[in-house]
Amino acid sequence: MKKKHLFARNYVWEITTYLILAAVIFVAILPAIWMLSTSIKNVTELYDMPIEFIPDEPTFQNYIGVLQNSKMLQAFANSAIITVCVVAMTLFVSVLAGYGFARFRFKGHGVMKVGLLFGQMIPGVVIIIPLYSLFTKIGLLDTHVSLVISDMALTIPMGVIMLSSFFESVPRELEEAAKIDGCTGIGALFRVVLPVAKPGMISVAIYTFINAWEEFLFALNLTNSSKTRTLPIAISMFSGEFSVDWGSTMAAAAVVALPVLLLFLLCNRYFVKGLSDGAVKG
Amino acid sequence: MKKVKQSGILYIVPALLIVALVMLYPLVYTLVMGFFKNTLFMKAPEFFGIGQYIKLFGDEVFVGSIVHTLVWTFGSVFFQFTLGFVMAMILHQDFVKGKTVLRILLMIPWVLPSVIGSAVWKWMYNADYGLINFFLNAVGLIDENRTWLSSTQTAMPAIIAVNVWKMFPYVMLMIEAALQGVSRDLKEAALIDGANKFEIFRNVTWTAIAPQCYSVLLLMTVWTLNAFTFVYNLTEGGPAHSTEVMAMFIYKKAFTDYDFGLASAASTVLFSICMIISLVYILMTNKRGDA
Repeated sequence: MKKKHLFARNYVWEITTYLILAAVIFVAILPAIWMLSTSIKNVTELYDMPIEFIPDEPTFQNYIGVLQNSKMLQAFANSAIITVCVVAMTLFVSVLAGYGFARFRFKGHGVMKVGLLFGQMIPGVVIIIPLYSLFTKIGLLDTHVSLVISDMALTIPMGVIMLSSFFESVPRELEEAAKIDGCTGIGALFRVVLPVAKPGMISVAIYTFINAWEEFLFALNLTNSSKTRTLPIAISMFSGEFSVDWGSTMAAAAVVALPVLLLFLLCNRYFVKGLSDGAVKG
Repeated sequence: MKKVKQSGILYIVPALLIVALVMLYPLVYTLVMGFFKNTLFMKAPEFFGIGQYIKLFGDEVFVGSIVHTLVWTFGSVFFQFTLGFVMAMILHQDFVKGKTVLRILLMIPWVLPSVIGSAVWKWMYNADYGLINFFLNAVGLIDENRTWLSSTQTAMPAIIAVNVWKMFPYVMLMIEAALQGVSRDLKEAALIDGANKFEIFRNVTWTAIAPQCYSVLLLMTVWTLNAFTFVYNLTEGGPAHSTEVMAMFIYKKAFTDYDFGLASAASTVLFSICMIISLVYILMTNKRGDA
């Protein structure tokens, strides 16, 4: 379908538009390119002036070093475990709550929904001190469980808001039919509504994944050994050292960035739609 | 159309339990603890009352952190919004080809984890071997290498730049989505009635996207107020407290000085600011009638 143009074509403006786009894209992706460029430089080329983006002798030594570093691998495993648990639990809880908000009216319905909107606004730094004391008291400090639970404070409000607006767009007749066929309420949700709600669930999953994968503040304070330390903390410790090995740091950074970049590229369609539906409509 | 059915609340119970545990309980704890002396070295918290807040506002570093928070927040949000808005308008034009690819490229800063962003920018800001000094030298804007992150004059603008780089794509995405909802027929009608481009923008486009713009502005404001990762990884609040925003102050008081009481009082102040802004946000979404 070709849209007709409202105004006559103005070639000078069209060229200007592309120039502005090119300039902004350059700045937007420059850090990522610089990260990749640094990650394949050996120590001598790292400090060469003038700077070259493509090194004379590219090397994968930095990547090999990172992948052989047992602490990095442990951090990768920790991040993966925590992220998967956060995504699974967030989806489960948000599907139930989103459905409840979309289909039923009950006492405190409005208050609770507004409460969720407020939830998005609570500063992480405000809740970390009580969580730290709580987890210390019940002996869960420095465990994966404590991080999974805390991360859900960040992901559940958005998840519920996104899914409840999604469920509202699913026709109610679907469940009515299922119920006539003898499904229970919750059975109808899982057998009939969920398959239709897949795009909404994928959006929530991606949003949650990105948030859990990069979560920093909670991980910084709730972990204190390499047993539980996540990738963001490992990277931060890497680049916080007095004399930084930038080649290895950038290789490690690239390894951490890869999963989210891949996910984003593969699911870009759901992602853009889900985010704009959830965040703006509230 | 919704059923009035109290049992519907059962669906919400798991979410309620988690929210109560990780949000409600911590909030109440913080509000209460703000009135107690409570450090790691004390056996039990001691009631301190309003004295805590007198002590807090007597602390120059805290008062300074409020000022830094204002500069950090308004500086970031102003540029995030302006750049995001302009890019949304540019990308939305009919003649632009390859929108999907362009959008993906522009979204990359937002998708990269903040810690990665901080590490790369720290390396780019490096005084001796950094890309930024190299570029600025090459085009003649500076004649000697700057220490961007460790000078009190440039540290704040430098971290604001990183925050703008990271979040403008989100603003762009939201506003572009709003622009797609603007009625084309209305624009055409206005054109037939003799309106010029500017009038069409003001009367048709802006009227349609303004509510979304306000929501995005408020979200950005609250998120920036709460932002911690960039400040911690790029400057740790330094040099000489010049980038110490409230979140950083609270973190240092709690986890470096172990003064949980004072940190809780400072948290209460930050939380109150966020709540006032959120109230505005929620009142506005309610007024639109779709909350």
